[in-house]
Amino acid sequence: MKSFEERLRSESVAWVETGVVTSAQRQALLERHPVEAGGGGRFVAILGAVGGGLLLAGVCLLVSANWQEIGDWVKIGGLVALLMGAYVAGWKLKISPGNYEKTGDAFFMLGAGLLMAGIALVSQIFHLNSRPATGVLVWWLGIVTVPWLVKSKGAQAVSLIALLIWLGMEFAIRGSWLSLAEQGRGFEDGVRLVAIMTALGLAIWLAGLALRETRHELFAALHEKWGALIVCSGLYVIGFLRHFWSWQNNEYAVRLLPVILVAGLIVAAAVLAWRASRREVLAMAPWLVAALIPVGAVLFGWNVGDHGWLWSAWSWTALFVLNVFMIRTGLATGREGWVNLGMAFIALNIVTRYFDLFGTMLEGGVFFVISGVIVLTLGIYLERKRRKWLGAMRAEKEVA
Amino acid sequence: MNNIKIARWVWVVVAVQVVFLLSWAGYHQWVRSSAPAIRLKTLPVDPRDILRGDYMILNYEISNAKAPVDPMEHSDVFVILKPEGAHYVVDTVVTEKPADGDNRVWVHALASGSVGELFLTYGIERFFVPEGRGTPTFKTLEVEASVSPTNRLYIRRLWLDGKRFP
Repeated sequence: MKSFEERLRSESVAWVETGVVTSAQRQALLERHPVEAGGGGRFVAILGAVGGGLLLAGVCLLVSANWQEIGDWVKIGGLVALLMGAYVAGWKLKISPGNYEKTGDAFFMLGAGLLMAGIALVSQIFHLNSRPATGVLVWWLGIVTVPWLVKSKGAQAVSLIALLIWLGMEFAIRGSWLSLAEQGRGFEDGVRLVAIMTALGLAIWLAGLALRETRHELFAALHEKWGALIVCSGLYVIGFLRHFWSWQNNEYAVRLLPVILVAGLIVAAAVLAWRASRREVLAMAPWLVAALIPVGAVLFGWNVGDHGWLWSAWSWTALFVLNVFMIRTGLATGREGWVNLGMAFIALNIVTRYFDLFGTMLEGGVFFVISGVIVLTLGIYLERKRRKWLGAMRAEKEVA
Repeated sequence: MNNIKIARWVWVVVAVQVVFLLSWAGYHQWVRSSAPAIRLKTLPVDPRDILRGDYMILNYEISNAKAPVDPMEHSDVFVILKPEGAHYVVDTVVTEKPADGDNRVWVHALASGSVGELFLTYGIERFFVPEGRGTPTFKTLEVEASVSPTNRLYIRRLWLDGKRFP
């Protein structure tokens, strides 16, 4: 395969002939991208990648084959060296001199992940298992400042994962100070965990809005997308509530403390988002409040005597209108992630509801034929729409 | 990068991470090698931990106890142990922390159950074994556990039929 420089040299001849560029402009372009003799650094780069990959695979195999024979402190020392190496590489590549920001970002992300690997390794070596959630909390506390100091989106993604895992574990563990279940009661009901995580996703989403036009705007899109993904996924799952409604009643309402904590986070994020972008918060508010209602119903066991139909249908509808809002706002503000997420969840919601509602009504063969036609038609239609909208959005950005 | 001075603080964070990992591991190394040890009778089953590999779930004789107290579900209790032959067994379970000068062997535990039938967890219910080898076969299983200065139990080593494992 020809390199970019080689293709530029051959194809630009036709550009001059058709008047796309002048001969002088072609010459300037070719001088900017000269073809290096012998294929330049590409061959070396390919060799480097293959050789590096083989070397890494070999080291991994050697270490795993001899893992039991490696001394505890050699393992711990090796992991600490890897951790420091990741940060040093991140620093060199992203910050000083900082010629490869994205690769450097990946190394900071790796460093943040390696702290958890270190915690898991030490707890494995010394058979420590009294409270895994505390290990995750220590991980999060250990890395939470890294992304803000070095402006690493990758590290922030790891930090968010750590925070979500920790809170999820605390909500689910019996006897935890943040446990959703009352003291002395088992917590087998995953839907309440989904509900509170959905609310937490909303706080993350609003935190993204709050970060817009601040010096940490770099993280805004990440928080918005993750928050939106969690909220949409949560509503999608709560849409199945009618299938496991038998466990839902007032007697099994969750403890207030975790709900108050998450509500506090939502309010704090909303206040900050309000200060950053009042118009967007106002536009989002009705759809987010609509999304929170089935979440509240699950957490507090609001039973209207219909075996969960109301809250299921509410979730489907809330998810749909929220997705439409996301697509509209995404198109208006140039947020491709919102458009993609909105389209994906509209398709998922429609197809799921079709199977959920009509799946048992039709005969096997007919059902599969109709399902196939619906999925294909809907998929093609939505994908075409998505491409058209994103194309128009990108064209607008280029003009701007 | 404009904020390079701020970014330099990341080295303080990295240093904290490294010091934490090394000192945490060092503390447990010290507990394993120097703290007083007791032997406990044990029974295992063998599941798997995604992050840390294969392990045996250990159920101890001291995991079940009769107690004259009714602690809250999953609340901290203090288990006073006494030697009985080569092993330690539960003497009594109390909800009040023993006094500082108390020379008996006592440890923290989480209690569930009710009066008379307590189930106690000590944080030593998992023992990580070499991956892929599964649970070894044996007739008797004992755990040698260290009692840390903070009165917590940590696994020191495992004995299968009187031989050290792995």
